[in-house]
Amino acid sequence: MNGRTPFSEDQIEGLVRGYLDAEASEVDLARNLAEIGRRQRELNAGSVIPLATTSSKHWGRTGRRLAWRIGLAACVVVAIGVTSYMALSPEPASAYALVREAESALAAPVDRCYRVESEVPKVWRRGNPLLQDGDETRVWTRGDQFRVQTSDQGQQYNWGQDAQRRLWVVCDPQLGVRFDRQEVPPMLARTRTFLGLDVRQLAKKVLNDFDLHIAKVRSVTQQGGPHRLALVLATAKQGRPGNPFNTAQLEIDLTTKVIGSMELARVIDGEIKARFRFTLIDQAAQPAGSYELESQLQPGGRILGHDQSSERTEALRHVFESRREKR
Amino acid sequence: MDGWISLALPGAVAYASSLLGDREQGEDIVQDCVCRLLARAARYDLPRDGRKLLFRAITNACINRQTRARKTVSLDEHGRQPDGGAWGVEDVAATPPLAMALAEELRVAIGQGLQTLPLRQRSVLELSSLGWGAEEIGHLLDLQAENVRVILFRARKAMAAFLNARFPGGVTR
Repeated sequence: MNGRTPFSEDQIEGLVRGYLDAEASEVDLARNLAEIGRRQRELNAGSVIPLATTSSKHWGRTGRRLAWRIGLAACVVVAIGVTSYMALSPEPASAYALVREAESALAAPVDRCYRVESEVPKVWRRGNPLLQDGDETRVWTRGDQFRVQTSDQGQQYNWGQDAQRRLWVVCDPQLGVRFDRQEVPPMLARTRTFLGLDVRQLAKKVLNDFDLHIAKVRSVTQQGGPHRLALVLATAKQGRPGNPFNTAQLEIDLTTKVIGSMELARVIDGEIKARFRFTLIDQAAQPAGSYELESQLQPGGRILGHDQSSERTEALRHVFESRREKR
Repeated sequence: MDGWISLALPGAVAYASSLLGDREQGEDIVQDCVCRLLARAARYDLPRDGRKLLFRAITNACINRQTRARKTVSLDEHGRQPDGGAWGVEDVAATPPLAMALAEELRVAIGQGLQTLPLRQRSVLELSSLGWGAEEIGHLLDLQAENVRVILFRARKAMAAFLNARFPGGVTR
């Protein structure tokens, strides 16, 4: 076999060195340095343990922390997912039926906007560039699509998921990054699933993890007519770790089956560690394409996708860093 | 941030990732070790010794993690679907193309071959390839230098056997 030689033991270290060098050349130095800096700041900052750390030891630390940066913002969309949590809960039947109908209502391609209010520890907020205290955060949903808008000191941050389930983030009016469905970074994919953006998967995940029941029904007058609202309480079953929230309350209109408000909380030893409240504030139809990245950018805006992966990663990191620096 | 970190970090991540067989865990270990070193910066001359100290810390951390008694299950594995998809999301873009270039094929094979070695052999072989002497490796792994040479010999032999089995006719180099 011309030009071909078997491997000798003398060559092994050279080959291994070449292998390690090649692997090293693919290391994202900037991202790692940024993460080291962040860890140092966190160590210096204090002792509040991010909820992700307590919620699951299954996550690698890097995955947990990076995932939570995006993920805390993602949880605004748990409004979609928790409906499925409960839809599959086996008891009681009335709560099951009600939430299942609410889930069907949410699955329809109807636009709904929820205002999001959050209470989380300061240290946790510092690690979350997309959802900060004092911001006004709104999430628009249409089926599996969503768009999160956060206002922060006059600046707006947008990210979401389009009809093709591609995750996108607006970096500035002229630049956005987008991950195809098949290439969403595993950390973000896990976060999206784990925190409720992937409704069906989330439903499977929590199928057996929550007890729920209807706590009360009250009558109100709104939009010119009487409505009956049911308050559904959900509590995570014991011994089922892995969910960021262990209690939830939903108020569902018994007529329209629309979720009017929902509160998700993580309670540890009777103390609320984190709480998110979603309130339905708008149901106006949104323009076509409003969940697409293109519609968030100015005409001629550039989109970094699969073919610009390094540049895309850097742009995303810049968004996180710039926001953190504002704080 | 210190210049020595930028210089040492890519190689350190590659090394840790190879020891653990996982890039994400490798980065996690390296970031953790760098933070620990920086926290003790007053005790060391890091610009001079930082790289060596970092590799030492990484080796110990990787051995500890690999030999830890309890087996953890990642969320990916927890949610893995029967069709192989992790929560229905899989990075198929990372799948190597069928017509993989020979160099890439060899690189993959080396990575796989390293994973077949016991952790100590892998560590010794990789440190040796990075220029560490038997004495230094022995000091790091609490072994006699002679034992290091024996382990290195076995590692080389096993790797050569693995690669020759993978490429029966050798490769054009």
